Amino acid sequence: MGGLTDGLFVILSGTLIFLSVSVVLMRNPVRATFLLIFSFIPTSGLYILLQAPFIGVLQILVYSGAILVLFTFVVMMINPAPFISEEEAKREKATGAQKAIVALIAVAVTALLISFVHRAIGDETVTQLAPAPAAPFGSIESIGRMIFADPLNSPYFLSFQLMAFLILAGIVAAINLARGPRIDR
Amino acid sequence: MITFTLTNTLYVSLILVGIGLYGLLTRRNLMMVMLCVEIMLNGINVSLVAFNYFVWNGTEAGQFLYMLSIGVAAVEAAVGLSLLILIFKNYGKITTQEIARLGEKR
Repeated sequence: MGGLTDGLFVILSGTLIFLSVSVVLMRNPVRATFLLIFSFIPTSGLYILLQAPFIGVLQILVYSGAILVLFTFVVMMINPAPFISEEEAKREKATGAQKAIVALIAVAVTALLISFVHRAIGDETVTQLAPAPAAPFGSIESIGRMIFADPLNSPYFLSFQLMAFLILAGIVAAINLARGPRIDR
Repeated sequence: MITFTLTNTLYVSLILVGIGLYGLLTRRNLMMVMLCVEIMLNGINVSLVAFNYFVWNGTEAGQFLYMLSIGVAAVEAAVGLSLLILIFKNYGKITTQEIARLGEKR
């Protein structure tokens, strides 16, 4: 089990990082969106490696199936490329020096965070020290029981319901913003 | 050689956050800015599920946090994209310069 898991982890995380970098560097927003959808496939594989099969399915179903498809629709609806002249496009692009500075900042922030992680847990390699969890761990049944089995005492139940209210508020806000001027009869 | 450790998984998630940060600061197209935010969120989600597997073993608290996180991502995408459509209707393009003006003339 050990060698296979380690190899899969390296392959999946390498693909994930490669696809994410190409999303950032891609010029065409449509292609970038599709690459981001593809980058969720190795992410889902990582979740399945981390014994979270339901989360892996959710990543494909909800994230790439719903959220990113919404992105794709909007990208295809607003295609501003023809309206921008050559000179204007040149003015609005980041110059090489700006990109270098930003890359420096991003690398510095990442290195700082990595050094925190390294200081906290770097030397002792945490590799699932506790005994491996039982079979239904991470399944939809197990997560459902954790949230809904005891609604009055569970801390998860209330936050799950409040999440539903947040989504409702988001729907109302999105409709209000996108509706346009109101027509009085 | 053991590579599947908590440290390495956290490194992957931090690298994703760094990639998203770079894109967030360099790209001028608001659509690409939102995609870069999604990349950063993805990195954070990886770290949540990794902590759940390696450290909080026996409970699915991290996976529950992941579910909350994608809920927030969905709401953010819906509101952000409708704002984006509104900006496109008013200005005809969606660069960061357009919203930096806050409606004033250049």
